Amino acid sequence: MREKPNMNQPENKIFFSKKGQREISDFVGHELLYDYLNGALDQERRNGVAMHLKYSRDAQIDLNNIVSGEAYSKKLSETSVSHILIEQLNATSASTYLSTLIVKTNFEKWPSGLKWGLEVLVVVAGIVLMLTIAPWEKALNMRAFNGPSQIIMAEVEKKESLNKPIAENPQFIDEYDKVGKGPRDKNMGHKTEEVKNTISAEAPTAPVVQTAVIEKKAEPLPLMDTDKKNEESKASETTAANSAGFLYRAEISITNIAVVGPKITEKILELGGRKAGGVELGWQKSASSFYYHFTIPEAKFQELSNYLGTYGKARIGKEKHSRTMPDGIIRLILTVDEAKN
Amino acid sequence: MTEAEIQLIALFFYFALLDDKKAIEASTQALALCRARLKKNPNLKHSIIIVSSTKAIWDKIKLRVPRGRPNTSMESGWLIPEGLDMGPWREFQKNSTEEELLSVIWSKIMKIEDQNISEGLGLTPGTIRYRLGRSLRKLGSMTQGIRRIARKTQYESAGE
Repeated sequence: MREKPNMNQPENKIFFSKKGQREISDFVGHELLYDYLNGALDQERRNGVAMHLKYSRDAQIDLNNIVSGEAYSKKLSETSVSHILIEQLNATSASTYLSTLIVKTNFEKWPSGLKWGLEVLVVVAGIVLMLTIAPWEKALNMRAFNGPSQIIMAEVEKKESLNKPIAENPQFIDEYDKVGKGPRDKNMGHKTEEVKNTISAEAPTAPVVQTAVIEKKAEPLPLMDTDKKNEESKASETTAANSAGFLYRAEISITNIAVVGPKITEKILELGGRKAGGVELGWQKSASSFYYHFTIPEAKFQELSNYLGTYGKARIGKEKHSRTMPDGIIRLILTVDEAKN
Repeated sequence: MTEAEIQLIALFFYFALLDDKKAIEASTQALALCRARLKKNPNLKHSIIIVSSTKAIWDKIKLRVPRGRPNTSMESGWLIPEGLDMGPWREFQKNSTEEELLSVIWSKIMKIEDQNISEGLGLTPGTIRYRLGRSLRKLGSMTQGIRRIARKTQYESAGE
């Protein structure tokens, strides 16, 4: 443990200066000269500086310098400032830039007409500047883009893709030709190409599907029996998932079409089918032909096929189509003709 | 601000810059600053505000004004006492440090108390006194030198 220094011990004695015997170094003596001269020192310090002055020549010179400096600065302090300058300073410092400008230009002495004219000019210039600088176009554009019109556009697109599977005149496009004409009864493969051509010919009136229809690859549609239909439909389901979209085409010949036709319509509606295209579901094309263009849940397709199978052999084909249906919904064009005996 | 106070500010910049036009410009700014500070602190001593404002303006303009190039005229509005030799002051203004120059002006020319100077600058009164001692010693040596030269010239002319 460290011992506390004992002042009484001779070996640890700290020497303090005694009263009246403090010696002043040259540096301190010099720096205290100004205070010595002004009487700002206590008696002890005063004596010390006096002793220093007695023996130091440099200190005496410095003291003289300080005295001379003070005398000189006293003379300098007698310098005065003219009233004109004081007034000038007073007026200038109190005024703003605008008031200084007004004073300098003698605005108050101008004719009132000129003053008013100038004020109007300044106001008009301010308004014009504001109108020019303000980003009106930006503001208007922002308002237009942020408005509800953008949302409506999106809805319109959706509606077009879902509710208009075939452009404008479905009866013309999907029926291929007039009743009794065309090769559809003979060969479905040829028919597909013809359909493509028909759609292409009509394409300008339907800009939504135009490009897609033109690019559509013709694919021969093999005739199918209802027996093979299940396998085919399963296969097509898997391919449908990978491709863009499909359109089912079905044809069936039945007897007593006038009675059966409405029944088929009812069945389709019962299974959740909905009209697609421009004509009503079960449109009677002619006395011996009914036309059905509709969408139906994919799960009900099999049931519909079975129902149609009770009336006769249905030929169901599937072809690629640019229009993609929502998941679980298929689009179907069914033509029901009177069976020829 | 009273006329005496305006005069003090004008004297400060005259002796600090030794340039009439710049002194007027600086005095105007300092006066405006003083008024603004007085509005904010009406209870503050005027001499303290004068010290702080003149220092602020000095700091602002000191780099633009080269020292040792006096540009004064008799008609500028500052009335120098008759027979006063401005030589030592010009020499002092040129060679002294900023602290020495300003402390002499505030204390000896403007006659502001050391206590107020120290409050205006945020320094201790001891620091102000120390600076004053040094600056007066320097100023005095310059006046002595000029006196010696003057005496020498007198002797030479008397000898001829």
